[in-house]
Amino acid sequence: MKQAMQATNDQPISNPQTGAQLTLKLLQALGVTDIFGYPGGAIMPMYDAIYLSDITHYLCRHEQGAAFAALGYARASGKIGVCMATSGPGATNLITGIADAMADSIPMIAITGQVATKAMGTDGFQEVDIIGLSLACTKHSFQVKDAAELPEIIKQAHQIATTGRPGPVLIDIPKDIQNQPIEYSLSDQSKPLINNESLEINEPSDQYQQALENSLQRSVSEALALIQQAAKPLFYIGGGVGMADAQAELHQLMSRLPFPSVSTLKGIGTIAIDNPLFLGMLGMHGSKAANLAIQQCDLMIVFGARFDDRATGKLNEFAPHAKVIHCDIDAAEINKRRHADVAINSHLKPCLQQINESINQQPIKAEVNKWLGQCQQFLTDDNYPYQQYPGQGVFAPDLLRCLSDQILQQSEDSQPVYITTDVGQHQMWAAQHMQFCKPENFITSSGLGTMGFGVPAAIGAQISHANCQAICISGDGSFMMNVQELGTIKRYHLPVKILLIDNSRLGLVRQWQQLFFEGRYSETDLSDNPDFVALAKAFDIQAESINQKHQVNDAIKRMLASDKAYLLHVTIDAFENVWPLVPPETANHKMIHTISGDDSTNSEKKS
Amino acid sequence: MIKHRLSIRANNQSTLLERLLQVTRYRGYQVLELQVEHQADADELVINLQVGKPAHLAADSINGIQHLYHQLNKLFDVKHVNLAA
Ligand SMILES: Cc1ncc(C[n+]2csc(CCOP(=O)(O)OP(=O)(O)O)c2C)c(N)n1
Ligand SMILES: [Mg+2]
Repeated sequence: MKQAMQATNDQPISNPQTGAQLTLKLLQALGVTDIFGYPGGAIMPMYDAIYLSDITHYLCRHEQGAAFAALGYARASGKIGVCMATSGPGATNLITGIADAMADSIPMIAITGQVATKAMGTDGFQEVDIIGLSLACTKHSFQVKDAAELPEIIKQAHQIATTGRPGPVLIDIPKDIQNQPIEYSLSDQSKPLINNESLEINEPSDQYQQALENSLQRSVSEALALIQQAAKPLFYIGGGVGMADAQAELHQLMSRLPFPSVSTLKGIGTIAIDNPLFLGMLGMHGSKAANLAIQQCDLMIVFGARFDDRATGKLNEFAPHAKVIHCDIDAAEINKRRHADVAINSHLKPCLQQINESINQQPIKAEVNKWLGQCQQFLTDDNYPYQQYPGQGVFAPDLLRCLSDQILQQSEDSQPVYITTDVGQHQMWAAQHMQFCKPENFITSSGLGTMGFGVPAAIGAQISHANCQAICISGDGSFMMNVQELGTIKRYHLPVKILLIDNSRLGLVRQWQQLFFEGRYSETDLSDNPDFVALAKAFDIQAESINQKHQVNDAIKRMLASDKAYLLHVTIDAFENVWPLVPPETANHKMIHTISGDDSTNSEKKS
Repeated sequence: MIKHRLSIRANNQSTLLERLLQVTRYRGYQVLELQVEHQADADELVINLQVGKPAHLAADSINGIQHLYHQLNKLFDVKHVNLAA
């Protein structure tokens, strides 16, 4: 039974409340209902407050798992993700998750315990300067010096994390502050804090708003003029559109301007599935059609993307004939890697609305039709040879296409499906061969490319929507990086599905060793992997293993039909490669499609 | 070395200088001169900064010092950045 406990400094924790209790109330008033974390000495008062709080805490089995679960939760739900850890090693274990949130612009609050204020700076037990460590990977970091600061700090942390270009914020709370008695009452705790008068967030003045609108209108007119002159226009869509909740506005624009489009890894799911001229992902493992089109276009209309090096390939040969219209909320992204002929530095929702309003009778050059035909041809020529895989083994692209088809068929009963991935070949195959209706349906560590992301992110996604289906596509290397989170799946009876694509290799690295290091397979052989089915079963997770292509369809059906956690282990050829591939520092149209001796014929014994 | 001068007005927070210096270094600039003054009335820090970048690296960047300017401007505690012409 839950009952009031004595806090460590012998202050009763109720009446007056402690800093820890207030922290939870403030988070709750901001709409936070779930926290992912792991306890320890310097965060014990917070855990004591959790014990009596209405917020649900999910115990993960590693702080990194907690951070990724918070990210999966945030990405699936659009709400802020919250994770929590103790000082020292707990806090440092969160760092990778925080850096991942920074790279992919995900709203997150990370709360860390800290040694008591008086002990700070004395190299105390489990003391680490987490503020110093976090500076390079948060939007902002706060250290609380007095419990009276908590209302302002938590409000600001929430605002910083969720507005502008979203990102992670760290709040470091020394133990004595967590225990500090503090008088503060939310006038109406059921209301969200941001509607609370005393804490109202300043709205920009009307004048400022008007000036913004005028400048937006001016840039939109300039953009439309460029569109009018273009013969080979193309949309380049990044993750920012989904983050801005502007997918509907984009679809409206794309129906009026039926130009071809390409997407970044994080933009996948943004463009409508039935769009006839969506050419796929661009970049290093992008589709042939996308990379050929981008290299030939004469105008890129870019929404919420940042010209990442994995997308552009060799920068000074990227889209060499194209003018650029670059729309992004972050001024620092504009002109960072590619000059913008027209820059629209704005939240993408009003930006797209303004473009849609202005575009009514936009004349388009007659040559554009020829370009549309050419892009259609790129698509037709870019037929992936799913059926040509020799032998009886499982071809991962075909496996993922089959999974995708089954999910799309079942989604009519409106159960949302969230796919998470780990990092490697399996991730690239998922990006290439699956289809998604919304960007939040495809949750992958894009900017940081963090192995170990998939399983805990699926846990977070599953928890964010009680009635959803969360499926993690993992690789044998990545899976082992946060395998302890199977314990979290078991503990909360989460029906998370795991499709484990096992090539007994760190496949993506092995592929590079094959292509660029003359087959010296240094430390990428995982043929001593554990028995994954037995491992899953040790956590009460149903599991089965397949290795033949004729087993694929039914095995996926069984996995999707299960109402419990399920691991489908699929053995694939160790030498399968991801194609196409743009070699590093190479122009995007110079893709490689196969290599001689590819794939299984290639001997690993070269080294 | 290509040099630039920036003057910055910011909240008086203990992490401010660390963050400014971290962003400056990470975005490819070296601090050549630094002055910090506390304005007691507004409880603000006024910082004058001269930064530099080796000419061959500066040539690679398409918007030069503007990038650092925008990155500093994004910092929560920074209220104003002025880039001397
Ligand atoms: C934390 C982390 N460490 C190292 C890497 C480098 N890396 C990228 S892909 C990869 C191999 C992943 O192997 P696996 O999960 O089995 O996927 P596969 O490529 O075999 O499908 C490695 C080691 C990384 N991305 N993240
Ligand atoms: Mg593998």
